[in-house]
Amino acid sequence: MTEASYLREKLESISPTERVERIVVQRFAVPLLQALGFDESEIREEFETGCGQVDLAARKNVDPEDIFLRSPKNPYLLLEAKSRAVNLREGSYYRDAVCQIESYLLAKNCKSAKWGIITNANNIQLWRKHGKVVHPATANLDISSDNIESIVRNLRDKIENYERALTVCMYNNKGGVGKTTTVINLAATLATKRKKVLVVDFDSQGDLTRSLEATPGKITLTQCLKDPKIDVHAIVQTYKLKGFSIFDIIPRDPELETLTDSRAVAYIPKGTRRLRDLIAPLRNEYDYILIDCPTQWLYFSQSGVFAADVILIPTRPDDLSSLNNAARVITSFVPETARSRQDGGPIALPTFFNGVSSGSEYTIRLAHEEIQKLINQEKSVDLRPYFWPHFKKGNENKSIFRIPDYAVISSAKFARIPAVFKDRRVLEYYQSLAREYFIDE
Amino acid sequence: MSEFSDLGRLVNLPLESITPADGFSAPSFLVAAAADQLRATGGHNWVPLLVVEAGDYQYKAIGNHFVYAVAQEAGLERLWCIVVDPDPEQVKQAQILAKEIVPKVNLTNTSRETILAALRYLAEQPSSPLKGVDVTIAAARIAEADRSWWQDLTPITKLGCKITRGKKLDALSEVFFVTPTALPPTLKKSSKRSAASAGAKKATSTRSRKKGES
Repeated sequence: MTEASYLREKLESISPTERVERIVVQRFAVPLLQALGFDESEIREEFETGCGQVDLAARKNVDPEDIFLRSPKNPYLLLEAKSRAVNLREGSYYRDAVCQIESYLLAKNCKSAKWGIITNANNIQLWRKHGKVVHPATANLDISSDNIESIVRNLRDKIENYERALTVCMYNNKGGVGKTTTVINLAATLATKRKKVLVVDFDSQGDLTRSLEATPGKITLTQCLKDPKIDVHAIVQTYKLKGFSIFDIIPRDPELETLTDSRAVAYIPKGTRRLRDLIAPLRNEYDYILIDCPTQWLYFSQSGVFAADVILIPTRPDDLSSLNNAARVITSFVPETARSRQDGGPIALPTFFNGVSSGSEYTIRLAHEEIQKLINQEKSVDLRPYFWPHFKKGNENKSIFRIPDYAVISSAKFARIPAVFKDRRVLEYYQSLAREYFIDE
Repeated sequence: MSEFSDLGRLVNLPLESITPADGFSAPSFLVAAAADQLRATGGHNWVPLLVVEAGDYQYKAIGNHFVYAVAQEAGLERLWCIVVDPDPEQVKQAQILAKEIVPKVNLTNTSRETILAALRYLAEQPSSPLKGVDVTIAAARIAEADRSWWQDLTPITKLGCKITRGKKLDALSEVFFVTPTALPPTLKKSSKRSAASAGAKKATSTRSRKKGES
């Protein structure tokens, strides 16, 4: 009997109304981990994450002297189980379980963990950790006897083939929020942290390409979009400073402008889904792929959001429209894209204030009032974690990460060189942005 | 329609990414002359090929096959296409509208007018096997018959309208299908009989019980 068919048999042995979590752990979660390739000595129950006990943790035993069951350190995968009485399909219990697996994955004893699973034997979802980002690696799947084997195959394939890159799309439906400046300086900052970074200028205006004085080669991004047979490596260039390679860039080419006309988009096979395929061969070659998109929910931004694991949304506290548009991205565009992708992604990261001037506390207070209004008005999505990620019951912390205007203005001054290389304070600001969102150090 | 789906979109595809339909054939004169016209007018096919997605960057032609044959003859490398929903019923609808296949109607409940129109359509086809059949009379007799229980088209052969088994009846299956909505008369009778006998039995048993009680 294969592990998958054993798992199916075990699944069928659990009562549809089973209220005891332990039964789900024993009869489903443990056989599931076995079907995912972990043997008994590689699975540990009630693992102490440093932020509470997770039901199961697993890691392959590579060194015969280091058996995970005996020495429960450096887990690779965590599993949090619930009883079948807990609704994990949607709603508050599902959201609580997501928060729980996220906090476990980010806890101090789980630095090595890359994957998290939440399941109640009715539903299952795989989550991936990349640095400080935890994002869905599958949709929240309904489990049945008929599909459990294909679910196991899908999960195992992902777990055994961890992709190196996190793809981040910088997007707000409102312009003037410093998307391009953020992409350039974040890329340069991540590069200083020895991360291999690729930036994609997917804005037909080409501000990013111009800022870095990059020029497209013989083969262009537009040609590559049109012809899936072209090797994407042909359009990757390296941004160098004083002879040192800093990060790679796929520059914008003039023909990209034609894609603002929907008739020209007809020449792009798979349309808005093409960019995701185009960068797919690069996902194991970089730590971060940053996509710069224009405003307006049209071809370029739809492609960028569709290609991404996560969306980073800059806003400006002195531009209330940027807050409204950020909310629209979170409540409408991102869920719409996720419905089409059917793999759980992309998700929006919490927003941040870009270009905060000193002495603008009154402006920030007004921005917070606007955010409160948006949270109160929105019924379909809880906007609070996207604007106030540190807000908790009993600690109504409404802090929002800020990049001061000094950094943004400096970036404009050093147009052809990322400001982080010219000004130490600017580097520190963007380092704190990288630490806030991405780098776990 | 989602921004992330090509369904319903007019797309320009490389000819090599499209698998043509099996068995399509058109007279070489028509294909060659149409190819000349297509080349002479800049090679933009205004009538699109109908395709469904058949894999990653692969498509299968499902309608307007003549366009594919002409484009290939004209040496075009790319072709304007409409991406159709791959659901079989949607593909069928597209093929009907492109006149690739003939639509069928359910003969068990269709109207006299539709039956007459369908028979006329068949009779007007070149080398139609219905030559010699009076379609007006045939339509009237079919319409008058109790068709609700028909499980195939053979009851037509008993209506005395010169539609016999073989080519004539086969021709009708091009435009008609049958999905019965009632039981055949024989079954109806037997089910009535069994209901009646069940009732009689019940009456008998009631009587005998009453007898016993007395």
